[in-house]
Amino acid sequence: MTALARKRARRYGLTVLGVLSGLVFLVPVWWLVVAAFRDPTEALSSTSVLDTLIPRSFSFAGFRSAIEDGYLRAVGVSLAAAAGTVVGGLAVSSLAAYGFVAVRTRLSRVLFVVVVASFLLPFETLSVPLVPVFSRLGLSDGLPALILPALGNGLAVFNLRQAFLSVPLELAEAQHMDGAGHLRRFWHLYLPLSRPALIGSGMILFVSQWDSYLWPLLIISDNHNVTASVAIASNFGPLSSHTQRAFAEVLVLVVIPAVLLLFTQRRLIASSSTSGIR
Amino acid sequence: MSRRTPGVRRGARTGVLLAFTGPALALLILTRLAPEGYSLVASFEKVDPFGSASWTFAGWDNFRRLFTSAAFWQVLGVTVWFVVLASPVIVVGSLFLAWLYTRTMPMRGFWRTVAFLPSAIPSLGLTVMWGVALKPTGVLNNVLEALGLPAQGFYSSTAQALPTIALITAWGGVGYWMVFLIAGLLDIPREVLEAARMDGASPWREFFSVVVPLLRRPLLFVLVANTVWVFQIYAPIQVLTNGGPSGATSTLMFDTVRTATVYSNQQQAMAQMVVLLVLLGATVAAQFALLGERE
Repeated sequence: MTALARKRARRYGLTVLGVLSGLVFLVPVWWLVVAAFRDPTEALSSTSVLDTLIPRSFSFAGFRSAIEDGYLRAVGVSLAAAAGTVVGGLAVSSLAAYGFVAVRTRLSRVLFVVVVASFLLPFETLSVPLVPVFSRLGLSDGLPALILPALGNGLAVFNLRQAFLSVPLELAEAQHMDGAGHLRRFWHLYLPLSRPALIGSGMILFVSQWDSYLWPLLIISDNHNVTASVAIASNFGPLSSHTQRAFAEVLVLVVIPAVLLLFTQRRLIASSSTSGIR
Repeated sequence: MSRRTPGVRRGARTGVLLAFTGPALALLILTRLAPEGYSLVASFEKVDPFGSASWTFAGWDNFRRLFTSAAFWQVLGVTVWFVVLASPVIVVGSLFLAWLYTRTMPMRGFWRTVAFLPSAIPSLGLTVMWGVALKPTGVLNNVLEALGLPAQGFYSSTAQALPTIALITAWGGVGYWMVFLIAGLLDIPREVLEAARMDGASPWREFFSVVVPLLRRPLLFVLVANTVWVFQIYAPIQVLTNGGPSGATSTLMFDTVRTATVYSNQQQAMAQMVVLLVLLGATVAAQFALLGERE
């Protein structure tokens, strides 16, 4: 075999391996989408394995049944909690990041490590003892209870501090000479120049709230205020027959962040091309 | 006139620092330190049998009860076994995917996105879709039967339940950790790889002697971060097996929540949580000690 032929054979093998590995992830997701739109009666009659991957019928029955059961309200609660987490979390972490950048003392460095490290530590485990702490403060059962624990995010603080560090000091000093205080420099200089980091941190905050399951399950006891994940779980048992509805609900849960991601990605590209700063 | 003494200036700077970091520090105290302190205190308390709903100091009683109970040792065993099953699969799987999808091949970007796709599914979504696919009459068993193979119990069988949960976890996670390793792979200078090739290193040799050592930092990060994550898996266990069959999937995380909510034994749950945090911390420390850079 010549060296060229061997190289071509290797590339061919790699491509096959790449496609096969990709299918491991693509096929189940495809199946999820197809099953969510399948007509419930067809699902019962089909016996062939291939039928499960080929859409032969199309129905919104799963979605309709989910909506009738009040799923939209749960999605609304999840969206409101996620929006609050993004806005509040960005405010808290960008203020903290500015503090760490504007004041560079030993105390500032120590606080930075403490804040990032403790917000990176696992929160799931702490959610059990947080329940009695929150109920003693009267914070159970509402949006604030869902939002507050997600606001502190070590990754967001870290990202924003990195972005603020790359803001030219001369610009900050020039503004300082013009009599701009810390708040004005923060608002008019540091925030506008850090849009990519803000969007990235916003997405991290969104996902952290959107993915959460245990904390909403523990803290929300009123059935009207449950999040989407908790609502799905309360109707789903592994042997339940409402597969269409559960899949439709999961699909909504997956599609919303994907749409937001596409939207923000376009904004992200637009903002970095107009500001001239990468 | 404008010259201030360093002491005053330092005081003003500290004021600015505390003003800007104040909200973050308040949240740190409320949502992290307060529950940590609460659990530490509660784990050494018990409900006073004479006072109404008040607690009294119980010393190590809660911990002693845990470590003398066979059920708790089973929970510890399940937890360690779960981490040992899931964590290496995720690290090796994500390393394989990162390596594969940095080779030249058609539509590489598309396949990268596809591998990342499961990471966009919230843990409850993963639980629902795999719960349906792997149920006794589910799609996967249909496929097995069509191939002439026996149907499997998956999460309803005592022997397979924990590996099944580990695989679901891995399927949902590898694409996410792959992203970090792709970034690490792209940071390796081309010249290093070309030099290895010039010296006649085989692809295997190149991978294990050149790529893996240079990837040490991102690999250590992925190992530590995903171990921390695996210790805290909750949704698939609660929804699919509820700790069963016969305790086969009752991890420390799951059992702690059950002790606190179903059995409403706060003090015992807090002691379990302290054990979980210590176990987690010890595992991470061991990973750093064994694989961290020695300088």
